[in-house]
Amino acid sequence: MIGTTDSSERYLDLVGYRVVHIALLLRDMVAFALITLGVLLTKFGVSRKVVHPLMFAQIRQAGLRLLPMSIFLGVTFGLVIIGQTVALLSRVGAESLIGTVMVTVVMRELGPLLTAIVVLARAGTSNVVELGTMRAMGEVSALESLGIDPIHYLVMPRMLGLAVSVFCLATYFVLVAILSGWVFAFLQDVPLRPAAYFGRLGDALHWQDFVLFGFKTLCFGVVIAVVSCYHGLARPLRFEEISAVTEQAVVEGLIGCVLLDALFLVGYVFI
Amino acid sequence: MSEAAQVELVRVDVAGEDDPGRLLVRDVTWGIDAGEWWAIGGGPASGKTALLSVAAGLNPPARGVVRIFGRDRAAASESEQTAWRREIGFVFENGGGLLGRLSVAENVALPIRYHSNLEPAEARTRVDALLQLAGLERVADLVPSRLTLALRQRVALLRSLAAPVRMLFLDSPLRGLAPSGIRWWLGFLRELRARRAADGEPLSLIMSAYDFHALRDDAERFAVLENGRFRVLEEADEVAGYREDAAPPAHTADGL
Repeated sequence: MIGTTDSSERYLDLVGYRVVHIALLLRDMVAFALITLGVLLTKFGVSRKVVHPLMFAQIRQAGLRLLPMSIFLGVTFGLVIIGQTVALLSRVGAESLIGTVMVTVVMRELGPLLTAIVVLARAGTSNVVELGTMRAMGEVSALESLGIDPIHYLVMPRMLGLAVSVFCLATYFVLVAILSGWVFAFLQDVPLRPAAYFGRLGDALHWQDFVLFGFKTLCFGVVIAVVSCYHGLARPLRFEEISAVTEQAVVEGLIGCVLLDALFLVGYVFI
Repeated sequence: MSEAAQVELVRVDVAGEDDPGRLLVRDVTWGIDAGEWWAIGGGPASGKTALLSVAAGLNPPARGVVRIFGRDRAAASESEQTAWRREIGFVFENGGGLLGRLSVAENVALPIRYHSNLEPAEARTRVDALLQLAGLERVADLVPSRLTLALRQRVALLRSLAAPVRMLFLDSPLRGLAPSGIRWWLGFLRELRARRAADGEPLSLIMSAYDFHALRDDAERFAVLENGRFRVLEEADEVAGYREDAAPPAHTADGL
């Protein structure tokens, strides 16, 4: 009996410890995001000849270099899922639902989320490793000693670059997936003309979809940037800690994006 | 401590950067006057880097008051602190914290470009002049990982001189250098200091070291970190007799 009580208490201690740890982590990340937002608002135009090229470099690294991967995923997704869905809906005489299903699945949910996961896996991890190495090598302290704000020089360009990159990649993903979905349906002899296919898509789209799509993808980019930069920079790191921190950042970034995605459901309810 | 002290530490405790709960040096009262050359001795893990970081205003003290150019660090605004950092150079140990993705020239150009919002070409003349000072023009386009540690340290020195510094903190720059390397550093600093004094802009040098052997002819003031305490050496024979292995690391000292 005593053993059971001890075990329960230990379990409760562990749960309590985890809850407090998560709450503190969340608080620190929100603080980090707010500091970055403050720097963005007050220093966006400062040293623009140095900082803005870093933002474009981030768009090249996280956006342009991931474009082939995003297009590949869009094509595959379109062929495998959308094509089959269109064929199935046509077979059961539910063509009228094609537009709604496509907008809900591709534009609102999977397009932004899959793109965010790809960007997190490629650009988010490289951010943690790069910033963590800079921190471990004393480069961040050296920047501070030169009067260069690390948030302004290292975090702000990444945040803006990742937000723009996720938005652009998700747009390409959605366009390619919709197009390849129709190609697959056409190859399966589904009697659906392009005008009807795109017409139904157009009927199902509202202007709010475009606003929420843009806002959601930008927010995903911000979440990835905050999580990856926070883990790379927020505390002194040793080299041996970098791989564990990267793993942690990927998990937290993924959870952050999924929770944010769920939060956007509230917005879609009103459409 | 004179009234003209550029940096004053009053009853300051210094903690480790990676472990703020661990005090490395306690109860430091120290003033650095304009144009002075200080040498700070101490063994490994005695807290030299942490003390220099606090004195340079990079890190806050665990306790006590730090005044930089007469202003309390704790009460200073962000813009004031940024302004100080342009006037207080800091050369870090182990390669100087050069940015690994930038070339030598880009590293030296960074503070010039950042603070004046310049394109790379607009900073080139100033960067070339700095590189020439240390004879490093031939490595301008190399990334730091292609250089030896000693050369990286020289590049970091040039980078800190890119700003109009009035004080220069140097964290163990002579550590592990060959005699020729030590001669280069001391000759360079001597000449720099003489030139600045002639221009009426005295440059203060604060240098940490494992021993004072090489510095006895150049540094004017000496202090050591022993048993977690800061002690100024007033007598010449104390300076001559100091060896870093005589000072135990702070974390083995009683009470720390």
